[in-house]
Amino acid sequence: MLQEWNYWANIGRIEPKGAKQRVILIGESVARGYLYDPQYTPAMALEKILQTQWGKNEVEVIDLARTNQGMQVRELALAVLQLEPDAVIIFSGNNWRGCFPPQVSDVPYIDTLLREEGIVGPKRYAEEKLEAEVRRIVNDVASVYASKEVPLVWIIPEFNLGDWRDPMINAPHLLNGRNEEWITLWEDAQRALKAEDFHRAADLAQRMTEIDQQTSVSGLYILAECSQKLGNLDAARRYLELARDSVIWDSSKSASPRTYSVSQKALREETAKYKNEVVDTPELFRQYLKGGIPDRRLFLDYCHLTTEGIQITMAAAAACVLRAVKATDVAWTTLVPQTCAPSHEVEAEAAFLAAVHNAHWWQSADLVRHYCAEAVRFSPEIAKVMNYFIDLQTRRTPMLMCKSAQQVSELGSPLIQHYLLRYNYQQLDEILLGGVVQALKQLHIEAQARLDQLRKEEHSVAARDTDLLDYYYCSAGGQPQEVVWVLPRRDRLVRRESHFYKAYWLKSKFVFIGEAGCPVKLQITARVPNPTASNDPVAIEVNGNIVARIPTAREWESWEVRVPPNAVNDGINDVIVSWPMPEFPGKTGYLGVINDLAEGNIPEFFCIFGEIHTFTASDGRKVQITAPEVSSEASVVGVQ
Amino acid sequence: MSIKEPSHDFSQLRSRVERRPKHPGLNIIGVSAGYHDSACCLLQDGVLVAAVQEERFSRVKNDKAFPRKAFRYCLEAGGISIADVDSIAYYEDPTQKLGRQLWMGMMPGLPAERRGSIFDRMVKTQPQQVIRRLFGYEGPIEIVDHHLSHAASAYYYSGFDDAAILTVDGVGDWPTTTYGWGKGIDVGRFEQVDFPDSLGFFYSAITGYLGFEVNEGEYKVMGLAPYGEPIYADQIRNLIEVTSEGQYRLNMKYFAFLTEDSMYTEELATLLGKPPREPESEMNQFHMDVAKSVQVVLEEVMLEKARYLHSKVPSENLCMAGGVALNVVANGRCLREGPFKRLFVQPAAGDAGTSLGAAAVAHVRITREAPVKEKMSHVYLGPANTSEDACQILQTSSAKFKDFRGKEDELIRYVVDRLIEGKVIGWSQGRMEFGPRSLGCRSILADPRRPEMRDRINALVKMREAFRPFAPAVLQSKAHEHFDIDHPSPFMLETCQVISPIDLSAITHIDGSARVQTVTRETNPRFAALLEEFDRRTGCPILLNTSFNVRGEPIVCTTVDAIMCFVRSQIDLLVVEDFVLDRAGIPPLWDLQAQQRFEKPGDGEAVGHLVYTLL
Ligand SMILES: [Fe+2]
Repeated sequence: MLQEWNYWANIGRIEPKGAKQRVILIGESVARGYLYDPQYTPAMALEKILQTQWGKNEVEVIDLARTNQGMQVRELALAVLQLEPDAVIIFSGNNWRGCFPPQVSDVPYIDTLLREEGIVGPKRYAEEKLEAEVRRIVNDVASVYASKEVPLVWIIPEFNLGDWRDPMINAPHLLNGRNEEWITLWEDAQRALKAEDFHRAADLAQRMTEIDQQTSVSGLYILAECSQKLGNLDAARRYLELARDSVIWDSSKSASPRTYSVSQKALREETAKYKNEVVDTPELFRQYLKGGIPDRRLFLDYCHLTTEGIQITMAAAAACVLRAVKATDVAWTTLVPQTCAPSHEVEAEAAFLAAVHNAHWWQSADLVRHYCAEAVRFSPEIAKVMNYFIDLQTRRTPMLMCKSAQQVSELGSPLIQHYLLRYNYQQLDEILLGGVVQALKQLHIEAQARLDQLRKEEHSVAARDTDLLDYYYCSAGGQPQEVVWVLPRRDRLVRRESHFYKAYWLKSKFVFIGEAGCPVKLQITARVPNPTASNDPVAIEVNGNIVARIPTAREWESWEVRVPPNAVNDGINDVIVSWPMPEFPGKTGYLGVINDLAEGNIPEFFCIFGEIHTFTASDGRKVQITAPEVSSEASVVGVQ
Repeated sequence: MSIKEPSHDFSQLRSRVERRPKHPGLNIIGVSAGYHDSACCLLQDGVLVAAVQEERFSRVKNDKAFPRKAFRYCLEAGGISIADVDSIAYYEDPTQKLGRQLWMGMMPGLPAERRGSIFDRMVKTQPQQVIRRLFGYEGPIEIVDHHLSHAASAYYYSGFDDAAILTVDGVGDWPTTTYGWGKGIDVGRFEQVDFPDSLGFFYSAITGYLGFEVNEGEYKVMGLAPYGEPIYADQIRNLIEVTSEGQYRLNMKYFAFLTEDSMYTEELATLLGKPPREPESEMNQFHMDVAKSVQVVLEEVMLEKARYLHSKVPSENLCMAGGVALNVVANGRCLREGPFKRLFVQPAAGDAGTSLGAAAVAHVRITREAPVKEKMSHVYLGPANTSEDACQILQTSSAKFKDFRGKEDELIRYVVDRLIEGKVIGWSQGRMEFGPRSLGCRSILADPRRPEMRDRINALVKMREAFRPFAPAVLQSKAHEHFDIDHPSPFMLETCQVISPIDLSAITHIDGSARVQTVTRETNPRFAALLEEFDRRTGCPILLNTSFNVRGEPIVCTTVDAIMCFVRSQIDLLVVEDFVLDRAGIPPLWDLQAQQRFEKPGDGEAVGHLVYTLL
């Protein structure tokens, strides 16, 4: 119960309606003011404007936005009519997901779609289902409101097109079987980007999207980047929108919440039928940014807004309410100055939380550093939280049991208490802690040495064996698809997934914490489950140097690799396992997808390059308890 | 994914690569899953190296999901990788089970919903495929019939060279009761009772009627029974018709489990003259009398069938397994009044223990040799926590704690002082127990001489029904001075009369009996040391011992689990390995951690929860 409570505004009860005009705001976390709430919320921003317009005691805004609200917003919208509102604002759409995986009864249809069209078939299916559902929500709600003559305002959410990047992943099984060509194009395009040959990169990416039929973000992101570099903002925006929409079919890795184009379109078209007031934030932000692409100025992450974003959106919503309730036309731009803003301390905390959130959602070092820098720019007080955070994030002791968590808690910030101490998960966080250290430097606080020292104390292979597959370390590889199986808190949901590591790309990245002068022993049990296109071995690199080449095998095999001391870094060491290029199955890959769907499993749309059952790093100086005999194969293996 | 190309200058490096040869031993993993209480074990050259229930890792009580973490633990404990596994033995025959499910699905008059759910279960992925997909295992899979798994789980671990074997449970694949024998390396069966006639379901139906959770609350009925009189035994005999040989039949008029989700029909309420008890509502004499009556009838049937079994297999030894074999009162009566001289009950007699049996059967099939034929002497087969880890956790926290590393005697004396003061102690030491009982490694301990202890622990720690007594752990060498028992009882699987000169009301049942665990230095040195010191100080070699968990939660496994359970409950003192914490030393934030670990989001919600975490 307590948990459910956390999703709503902290209001004990709603008083019976009095003389005040009553405006109700419902919606999801973006309407809750995620990362600011409870210190600052869109409802507060809106109420301030309306009270300035109507008088302090003339109007109230009731905040019924709920984090994690999905399509049940329909029921809530109908229920709040009991509260006798003078206007209701619905700010929803980011949690309206594609209906994939489908109902079992639709599996034969999906089967046909896959065989005839490839992944683009189920993608269209998911879009059509979603669009129909959104139209139904709007109709169900708007028709009742019309009959009761209660003014209704819809806010159509926008996505952080400018800065949010879904992690790059391989294309799914392609109908035409041209996956290898796709990979080659991607590699060529990367080289072209590096050489700043944007025309060539765009050309290669264009061919990628033709092959994958826009079912992958990878080509679309390259096209967007090239368009931006070549000064074509409208084209860039279009590619970024296509990229946002391209993942609707993919239920295997949980894509961040987002409002898909089909949802936006359905909202626009259906609300127009009822002549509802609409805040079209894609349009609003475009105006506000003078044609620019919405980014970190307005967003804290994929969809949650910064203060600036909240203020603009609520000013526009207030203008709608004024029109609907008072029939007065006020330009939203004139309302922006009438709203309120959070304190600098709250801004700093929200920015720091955004840094954590973005880092844990695999965003770039640049973006993570931006929010860290924003945090210290708003208030140097945040340094205390950052210092304790370095400690608690690096401990092996569960977060809330750490002394540093106690110290964070004693700082007494509601935001930090609510978000950080509740939802943070400990991981190595190379990017995030790097960003924190850098931001602290701005305040002339040196934290790097302490971080390095702490990391070694807690995680050095010299002190204890490291399980490279453990989420704490594996998450630093930056490959989200690969770590789904060890994702904390997820194991109760996906019970029939394989309980070992699967590589979805040519290279798999791992890390361990080493010590200068200390050799390391890697132990790996791996296999290459699919036929390969060549006889290339599996290669293992440590910090860019190949330390082992292992012949590929379909069956599990265990190997020990002794990494000499001069190849080991003091601190973080990168381990990369390179897999041979597989023979891609083309449409026969869909057979497995259909089986999975029919059995209610999460389907596997992607080719597996290699699998690892166990992977550990330990102190190479330790005497082995059972010395295994060196097998004859060892000489066959390229031993460097 | 911008991974840079490797440099090819390794002149500085001299790395070595070696293929690790396959582990020389025969490694068999036993698996039970899917119904109740999933578990995994590792039999290495016939030695039981590890066994653990999945619930201890997943923290979902009676978790029935495939034991993926338990599987990994078994590999780790055996020092092997998946490449070293020679065979996976599965605890039931999916084909037989499918047959029963088909038969159930075709029952006339079955509601569509129920039919749908049965057919849904039938199209579920076959366990062999799940093993391949989930574990990534490609080697041979031995399918072992469910009751054979039960039988083997008792016989092969009994130390007997020959025995009669009785297995009794709710249902596995088809049979519900089997009669068989073990001789040398062979286990055989000569008769069985098939579903839906089931002694397990007979007892479970009354369990449900008495307002307890079926498959979970049976031991509560057994605990309630001594408070009652068997005045409803005649009525209850209507439920079950004992027929010739090993057979019996349920009177299906009173049972609904074939067609509904309930165990019993309204006819049962009519027969007993009162409506079923609402869960959590007050208990009265009627309920106690019904409990006593069903217990008496069960014992009668068991005793009669044990005599029948002996007539066919005239061995001195009896082996028992299956969920009903956890009814220690019935077992005790079978031994006392029945024809057998010795009894071995598999300590994990429920379905978790079938993993042990399946693995043993696979071992015999592969080697034509028995797995090591020594009597199972302990169940400390789960993960151990290290003192170093506990130290690390405590030192980086702001908890106040006492460090007794290298000072075991002092630790023991300290804990005994607290016990004498009347403190309730959470005690986590060494490897965790396999099976349903805590036997001194993940236990809550208290002074059994204090009459208030029973209510105190029931109310504050276990949050459970007050009628259930706690069990004593006693030094084996002194057990006979306090209990009417002349042989070791290491697994708390027998009841006997309390004959102690000391007043032991906290562990004595209303009928003067107790469920005893005898402790020796050989199998649990630190626990034995504690009992010895307590005896030296008080003249009482006995401690009250109950499982270290709060209601609704699995028994603790890790140091963190133990700490969190300590925080959430009202236990006075926590002893983890060499460290001691009291309540005053708990940092304020630990409450929040304990609360969060206990949150169990529903499926739909959890997806969203995941989305908005800072993860
Ligand atoms: Fe069973």
